[in-house]
Amino acid sequence: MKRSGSLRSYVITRVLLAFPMLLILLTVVFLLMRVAPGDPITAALGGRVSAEELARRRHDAGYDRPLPIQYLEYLRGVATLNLGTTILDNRPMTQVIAQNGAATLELSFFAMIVAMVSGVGIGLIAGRYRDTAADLGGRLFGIVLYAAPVFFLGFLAQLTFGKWLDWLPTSGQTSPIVGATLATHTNLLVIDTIIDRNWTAFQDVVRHLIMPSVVLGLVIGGVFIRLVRVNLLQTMKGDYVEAARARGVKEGRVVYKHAFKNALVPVITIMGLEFAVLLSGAVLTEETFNWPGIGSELVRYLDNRDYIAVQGIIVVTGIVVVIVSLAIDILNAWVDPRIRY
Amino acid sequence: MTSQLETPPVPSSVDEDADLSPMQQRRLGALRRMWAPMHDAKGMPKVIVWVGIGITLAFVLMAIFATQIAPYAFDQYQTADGVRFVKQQAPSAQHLFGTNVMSTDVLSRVIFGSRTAIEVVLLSLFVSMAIGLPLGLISGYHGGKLDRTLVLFMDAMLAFPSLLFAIVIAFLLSKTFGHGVVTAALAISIVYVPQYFRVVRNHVISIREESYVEAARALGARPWTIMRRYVLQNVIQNVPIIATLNAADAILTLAALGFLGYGIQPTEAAEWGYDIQRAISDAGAGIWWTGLFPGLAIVLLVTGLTLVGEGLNDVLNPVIRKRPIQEVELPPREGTAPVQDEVAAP
Amino acid sequence: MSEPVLSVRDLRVWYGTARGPVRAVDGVSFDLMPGETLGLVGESGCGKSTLGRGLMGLLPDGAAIDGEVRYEDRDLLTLSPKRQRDIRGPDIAMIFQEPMTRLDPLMRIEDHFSETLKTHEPDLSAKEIRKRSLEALGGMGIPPTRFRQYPHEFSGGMRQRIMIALALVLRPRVVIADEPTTALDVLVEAQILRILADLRRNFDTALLLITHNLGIVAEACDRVAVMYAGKIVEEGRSRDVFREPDHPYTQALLGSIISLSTTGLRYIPGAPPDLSEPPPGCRFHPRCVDAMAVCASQEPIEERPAPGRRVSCWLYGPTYEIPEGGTEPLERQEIAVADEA
Repeated sequence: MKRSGSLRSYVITRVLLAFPMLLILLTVVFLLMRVAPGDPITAALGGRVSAEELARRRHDAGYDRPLPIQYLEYLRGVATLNLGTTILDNRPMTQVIAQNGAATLELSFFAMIVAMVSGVGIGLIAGRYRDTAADLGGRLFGIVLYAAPVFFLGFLAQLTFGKWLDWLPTSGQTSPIVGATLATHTNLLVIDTIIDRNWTAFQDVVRHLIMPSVVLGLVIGGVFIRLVRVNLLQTMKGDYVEAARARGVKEGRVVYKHAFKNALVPVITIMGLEFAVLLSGAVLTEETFNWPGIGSELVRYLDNRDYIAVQGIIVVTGIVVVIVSLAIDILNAWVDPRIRY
Repeated sequence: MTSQLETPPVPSSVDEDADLSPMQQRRLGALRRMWAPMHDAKGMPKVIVWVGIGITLAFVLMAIFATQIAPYAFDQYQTADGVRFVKQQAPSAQHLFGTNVMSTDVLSRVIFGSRTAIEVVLLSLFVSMAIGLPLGLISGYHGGKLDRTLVLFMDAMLAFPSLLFAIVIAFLLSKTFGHGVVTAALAISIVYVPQYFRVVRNHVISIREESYVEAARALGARPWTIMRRYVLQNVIQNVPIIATLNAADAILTLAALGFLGYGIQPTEAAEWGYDIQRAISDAGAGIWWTGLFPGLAIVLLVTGLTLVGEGLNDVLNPVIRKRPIQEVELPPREGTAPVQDEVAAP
Repeated sequence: MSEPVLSVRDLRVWYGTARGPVRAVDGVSFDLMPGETLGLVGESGCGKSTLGRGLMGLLPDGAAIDGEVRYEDRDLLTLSPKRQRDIRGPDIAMIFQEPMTRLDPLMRIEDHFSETLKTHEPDLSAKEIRKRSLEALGGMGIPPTRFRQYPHEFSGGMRQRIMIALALVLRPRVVIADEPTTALDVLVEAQILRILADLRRNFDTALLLITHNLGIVAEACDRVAVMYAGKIVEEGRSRDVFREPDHPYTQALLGSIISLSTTGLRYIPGAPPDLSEPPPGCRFHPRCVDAMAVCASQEPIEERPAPGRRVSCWLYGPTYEIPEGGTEPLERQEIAVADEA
């Protein structure tokens, strides 16, 4: 018999546990970046600038100091959110994250909504009507969505809705004219256009958002279908479901209130795990649709051997992942009273 | 992933195995017990598994006999006499799937692409299992500090987006191993090691506490014997499911790497993801064959593998396995209702 | 003489399996009087739990049911699903075996009660609901301060008491208790039994107590029905049946009870039969020390050797039905070990 721990103590414990994980991630990134022979500056600019310039920039970036010192400086930089400046185009990393990170955030957010609606919706139907056409259809749909790479779906979408039907734009976050005249505040364009009441721009932004977020959302949602269905099958067999029926509770309520709700509890955890997949998918989606997000920036900087930028992006990604999984865990505890410490 | 508890020996086929040695009989019995649910399963789950096996087998055969089946080489852009193929030509008699922007035959690239995919996936499965399984076994069985550290480390790796991880590693490995099958396979393996580790470790931990393991320990069995005899056998049952599902995922990761340009160079081998990347710009011009066929190949192969994994899970997982239900016809009542009189006395 | 509150005639529940139909309940008849406690006792697998669920209409897919279950001049088996549901709760309630999993983990106790009450008495005010719930819980010894807690905060014994309170809050006329104390330790068991005994006194509720524990039956039940292989083999007042059991199976059961004066273990050789292919004639004959020739070929006809007693055994006649030579002791082969499987 446990007294239900308070949500607060659970939150505190989880937050404390997040730090070691974060540290491990940061250390791994640090080591990986230094495995490459030579240092980033030389790799990027060697042979393109004079030797003195090279030495100066190496010194500025701190690459001539012994490894342990570099590690400490690196950690300090992360803690103070000073991740340096890109070698390629001299942008401060904070700007890269603010602008491109926001674009990825917008894309991910709407994709997640699509994923939840489609995935959870179809999964519940498939589980409820087990072994009927709806179930098999739903499951097959889920498998095919998972099996189709997001860039293939993107290709098909661009072909059908872009070229052949000409309903939606296939590239970029906005059309060039709108992009040039847009005023940004939060860098989240949907919000910014609403703030400015710029309805033509709003429409343009939304139209550009549809294809990438639906494509990405469906791919993620495909995984949910399978998981939600299995969870529902298990909860429908639950003892408390039988007991509720024995009390004469209506079948609809038994299924929706008891079975569905309990089936969805682990789905929240899964959403948390899928978040990492979402980020991977975002990289591919951004490349497919020319979306100026942090994923496409990663690719661009990596192609140009700009390791400072790459390191910065990966560090930020790692931090975001840890924070999001923390948030998901807390959300989980809030929903399921059994989990609190 | 629940463990399939050992069922007591079924005496039905004892006579047939009489001529085998006791050890062989036991192994055969164990194998039969493991796969018994497959034979019992009727209907949908069985169909699903076999469809999946069929698809996967088709691709494997395509991979093995690629040179014989494919009309041209994967990087061939002209005929034997040196006449250049037409660039981006729609499907025709000479090129059933058309040609792409490099004037190479799409059909041949799809066929050779299956060889690349199978090679990379097999290699990476092997490496990740070779590392992940033993680590999981040892960590789960011994517990303690080693276990805790490994778990923290693996969890951190699992939390990170696998594709980004694979990109970085592929990039780093390409310096030493070039841009071929080996680099891609190794990058993918490293990404999947934590998954095998975690599944095996959790499994080991749940089995470790079972009473028959405790009994074995009480009898003085050595840890390695216990692990091998009880733990390994139960874990191995779940490995095919994880392996097929991981293989499916690995193909997607390989294609993603290829799409981004960190995978296999086009001069080394044909790769579906890379082809789709070149096809994206074709979409604007309405050219559909350069992207459709490689994409369909990916969808089919991954679906096939997933069906095998899912089907196996449906069949072997006792929790949601559905027993076949027969309709029952009750014969009519015999009408012998007992006389209702003073049966009860308060 | 009052009317029985529940009257079962020729009840059959057969399950469909790959091997053929399993005759879990094969022609069971009994009456339950208002306010009395009838114990239904038998080994595992004799069909008693199936019987309980069959009465409630809670059988799984693939089970066929036939016969007559009369409650208040209605045959429950002919009612529409909706009518059946209406009866579950306010008229006939069920208490299940493992209390740990019978409550929805995401719902507070308070919600369980309001759901039950609102299903059957939708016009109750919130205050009324609360009052009745607390009353029912109070009767079980659960304080009002715990009304808003979650199931996982209670021990097994307390959860069972909550289940009983949930069953009683609608004041049913019949309660079916399926092994209510099997999953609980002896001290808690005693508490629960006391509560169940009070049922009769305070609410005039009839109780069908399904159990494999003869001790409980002796202590808590007015009458007892002994079940074997899907049929009732003996029935009568518990005091009478325990003092002078008629059926060989009952005798063997009572003989195997362990007490302080037991010096050696006595058990019934053999194992309960496979219900998909029950033995011909009397189902107990393979294990019966008093078996006669007729027992292996003809099913015994129910007899009433004394007022208030029923027994199905050829030892009690009717003699005119027994063919020539049928009373000879049964020729039997050694019960092979393989037959036990």
